[in-house]
Amino acid sequence: MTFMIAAYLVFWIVTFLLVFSIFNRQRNLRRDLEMVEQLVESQEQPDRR
Amino acid sequence: MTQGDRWTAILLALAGLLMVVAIILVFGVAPDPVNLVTPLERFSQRIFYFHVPTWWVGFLAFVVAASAGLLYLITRHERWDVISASSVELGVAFTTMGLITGSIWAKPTWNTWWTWDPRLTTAAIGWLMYIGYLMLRGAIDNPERRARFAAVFAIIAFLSVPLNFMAIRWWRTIHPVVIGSSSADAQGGFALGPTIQMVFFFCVFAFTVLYFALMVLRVRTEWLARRVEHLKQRIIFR
Repeated sequence: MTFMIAAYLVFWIVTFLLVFSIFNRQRNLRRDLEMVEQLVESQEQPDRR
Repeated sequence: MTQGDRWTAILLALAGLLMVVAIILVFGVAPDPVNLVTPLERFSQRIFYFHVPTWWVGFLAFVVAASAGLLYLITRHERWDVISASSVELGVAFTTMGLITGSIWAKPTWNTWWTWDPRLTTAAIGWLMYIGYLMLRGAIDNPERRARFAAVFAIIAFLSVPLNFMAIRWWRTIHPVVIGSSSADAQGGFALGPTIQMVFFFCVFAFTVLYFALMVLRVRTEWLARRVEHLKQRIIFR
């Protein structure tokens, strides 16, 4: 029974880690995107003037 | 929350629900195979319901990656590179689970965690090739060159998939053949009863939905990463 539990635990742990890591990457990227979009906007504003 | 986020969440929830049903079927409905006598054999046999689908998803992911790689080389459209890269990452995750769960099954069944059997050896070689793919992507800075090299690598690495699948059918091996006929020398083959078959194919279906849900999530993340990279380049090279 120990082997069976170990195998299913491995599956669920790796799956949760995978999903968590993708969500985490997405959250960080959204934050980065917001920041670079602001930077691009601030760089382009003097050009418009 | 955008409409895309909502659809991704719905797909992930559906995949999660199917996985829960799969677990209920594995432990509540699937009977013990009649040829397994000891409790150790009967319990470890249940690993098969998740072990085989992890490899199925791994193979599916590598088929998608190689096809997308080929389409990238033909069209040079970035979309195919995004799909190929995302699919390999998921394929590596699922084949890693397949290798670990297989090793856990092998210990009570073969009395060893690992043996250099043709199936295990081809599985390890294939897995290492796709680890190489991820390393290759990380080592090339130029996006166009990275996509081109990765596409070629994904197609070459794909050769390991049919080799891995057929290893237990072509050569003398101790790994069981679940579907299709095996070599006359192969050991440990078994026929699936109707209930076991139903549970097994439901698990394969649930894993396939999980793969597509994760693909949608991973592809969206990859596009986001590329948009951030593009804007950073715009700031630097302005």
